[in-house]
Amino acid sequence: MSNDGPCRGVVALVGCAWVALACDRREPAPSPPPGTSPGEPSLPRKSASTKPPAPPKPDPDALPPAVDLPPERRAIQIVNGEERVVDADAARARGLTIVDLSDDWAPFIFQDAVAADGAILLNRYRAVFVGLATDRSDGDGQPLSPGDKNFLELYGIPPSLSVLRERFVTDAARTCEQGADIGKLLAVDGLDTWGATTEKKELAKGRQRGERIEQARDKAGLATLDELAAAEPRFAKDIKAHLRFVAERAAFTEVEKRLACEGLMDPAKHKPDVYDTPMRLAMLDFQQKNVLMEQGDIGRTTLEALARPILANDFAALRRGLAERAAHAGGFVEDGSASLAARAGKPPAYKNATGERVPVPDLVGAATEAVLARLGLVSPEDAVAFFARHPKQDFRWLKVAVRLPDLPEYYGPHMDLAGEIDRGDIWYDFPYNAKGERVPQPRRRYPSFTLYVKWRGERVPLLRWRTTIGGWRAELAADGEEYFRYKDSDVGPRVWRHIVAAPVWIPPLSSPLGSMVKTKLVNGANVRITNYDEVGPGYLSAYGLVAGIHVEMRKRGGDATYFDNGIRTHGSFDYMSLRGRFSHGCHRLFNNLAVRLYSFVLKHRKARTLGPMALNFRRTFWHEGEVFDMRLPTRGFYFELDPPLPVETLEGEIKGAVKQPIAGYVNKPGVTYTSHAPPAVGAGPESKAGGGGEAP
Amino acid sequence: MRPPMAGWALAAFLAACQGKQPPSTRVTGTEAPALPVVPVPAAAPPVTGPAAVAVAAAGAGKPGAAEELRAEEREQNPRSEKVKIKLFVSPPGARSIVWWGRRKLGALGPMPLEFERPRNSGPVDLMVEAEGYLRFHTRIFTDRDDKLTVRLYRPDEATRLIGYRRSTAPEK
Repeated sequence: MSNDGPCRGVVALVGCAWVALACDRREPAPSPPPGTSPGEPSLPRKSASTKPPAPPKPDPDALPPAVDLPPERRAIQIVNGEERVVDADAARARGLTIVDLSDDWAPFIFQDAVAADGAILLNRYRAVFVGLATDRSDGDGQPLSPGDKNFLELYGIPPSLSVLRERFVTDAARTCEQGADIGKLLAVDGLDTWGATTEKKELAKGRQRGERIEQARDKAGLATLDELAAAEPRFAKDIKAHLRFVAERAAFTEVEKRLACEGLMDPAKHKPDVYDTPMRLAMLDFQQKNVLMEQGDIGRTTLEALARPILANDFAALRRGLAERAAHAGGFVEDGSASLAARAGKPPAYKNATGERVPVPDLVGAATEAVLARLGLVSPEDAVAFFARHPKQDFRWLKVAVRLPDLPEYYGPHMDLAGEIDRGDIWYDFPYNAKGERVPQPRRRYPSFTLYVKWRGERVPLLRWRTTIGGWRAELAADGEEYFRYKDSDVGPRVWRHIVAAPVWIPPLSSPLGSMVKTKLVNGANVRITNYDEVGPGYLSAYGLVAGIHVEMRKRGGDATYFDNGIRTHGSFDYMSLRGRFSHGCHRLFNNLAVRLYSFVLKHRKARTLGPMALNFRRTFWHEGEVFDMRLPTRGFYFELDPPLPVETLEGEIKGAVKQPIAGYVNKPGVTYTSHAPPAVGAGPESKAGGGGEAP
Repeated sequence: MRPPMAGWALAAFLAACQGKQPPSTRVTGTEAPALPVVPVPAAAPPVTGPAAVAVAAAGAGKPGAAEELRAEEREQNPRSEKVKIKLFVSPPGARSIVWWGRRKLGALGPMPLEFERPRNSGPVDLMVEAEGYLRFHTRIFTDRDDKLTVRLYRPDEATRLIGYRRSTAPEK
């Protein structure tokens, strides 16, 4: 069990504003909406007061109310505490930005485009993205069953505002939270959880220990366990363990109450005091809903989220959702992560026109605050009021007219951007010794991705996020045996020439076929179907929601040729891998950050929209006596950067004795192989992404 | 819907403790709306290559070979409300039944199976059954017009297929 929150320690270089937002670290908006006293941020705006109302503050961005506008021209503003509809065109003319709050919103990279000849270039994943965000459909684009929810924020798909509205409306009506005992929840740093069989044994052991100690206390004629520990030190360790056990069980009861209260667990299906399947599923839902990376473990981060009022968590989700909308509307990517990463050193800065050094701003954070302020959202109560006055159908058109932060000087239509991947500490040595024992390979520096802008002769870091590099992985070889192989991440200068939205990954033939088939309820029958999850397109694709293809550009004369070794910087559903695991060679990012990054790049570089590219791949395979067909008609929706964007991978610091990656397969310790020697390794670009086995 | 990451965590728990199927495979669907099935006479298009070999290697290139991009064939009306689906079988003489979950879509043989679906209504996962052939599972897409030939395999042809394992093959 890990107690590391996503914003702690070195791992904080994960450093995404997304995660940071989840930590609620931001101060309230610098300019709260009129009518809100800074000292009373959560008071209802229309509370009765005997004092005369304060004179309205001047609001230079306030637009006059507009009536009879078609939906596409409507936007809203909160002015002096009152909401009004304004003319979106007038707002734009005033230099304001229209931030789309509608359910139909999708990030820039998923927008349809128009070809040079006027033909529509359909971005097919857009409909699926919107269906997922609005809880209307599943990853295949098929309708969700009644009552099912998509909790996909960790996978790069924030809930739409109508989904958040439903949360606020439902949760505001709950009264069950009043019975919660927060003290018991936070009395422990985490709860030990086990599988069913072990849990039964551990709980019995804990209870027996308690009875034993109580008997000893009775026998000694002492009133408390503390007295017993002082009088008979041999019991001290057991008493400590017992007290922890008691505190954990009390906290567990509070967890059960909260999950039931929040509507995530049906108490009728749950056996009290047992971490059974209904409760574990409810916990997973809770963690997905609140972007907690604990995967069913009940650590401190989860306990703290459980201790917060439900509406406070809803408000954090609303803030995160608005952050994505604001970042995309403004075309921002600076999220404070470059400063966070440089905490020990100098915060990143750029030179302005007068030669002064100006810190790189957290534009995503500032834009989020601006949107919240313009919507009058300071507290959960404000959000309840906002959603109470906006029925679900309003989210077909709702937009807000807001002044986003001024753009730094380095912004322009074609920014001199460059990416850099620092591989951090590298171990090429085989991670097992001759006895087959695991050899520790500690890393102090983890891989990171930095986006720079070249400005006035300097490289200015705009963001720095954790990423992954390749390492030792298990792989199925051509002889049908599984070996270990070092999957290296290329070092040196490359370029991103193509960016692919909703990319498709072709599983190499070494991929285990078992994972290529799954069971799904189709038209009332549970049937086996080909599993397209990892293949995509989709948020579970091995290449995530978007990928930038690393290619080596070789110039001869005026012509450039491009060489692809299968490395991509791509989004990933496997968010846990970004906390220190290895990839097959690609550089993974959280899906939402990858979407934000590439949307930013496309908005600030010269680029062509190529649209959907054909693949027409088909693979037919045998599985348990039946034939399955995998069809991949499309590669994804392509954009071409012209000129390509430079991206360099630094070698990092090579640790250990081996200074070059070991080529070829290496036998797994403890495995008897039928082949005399391992076969040659596969070399397709697809082998750098998902599939294959886990890391040793 | 619960994503597989959650499923994996639970799967580990279940596998260790209860031996049940992990919920990563528990994906829900819904009843299909009414579907007009209109078989029309047409010549079957050629079968796409022997399935034992990965067909259409485009994209599965060797390192160093930057992918060659080819734009998708443009649709006449990409905003149409419905898409047209056409299904063929090979050999055309195989008397096949096409299933969509519990629902029998129709017969497939010398005549293709042709039907329409609402655009972007999600993929249609089909199973084709024919006497003397292995069951064949395929997917039709509804984000565009789709045309597909299902090449059926007799049990004695299974050895040509990727992933074939004699020891676990049930008798057919």
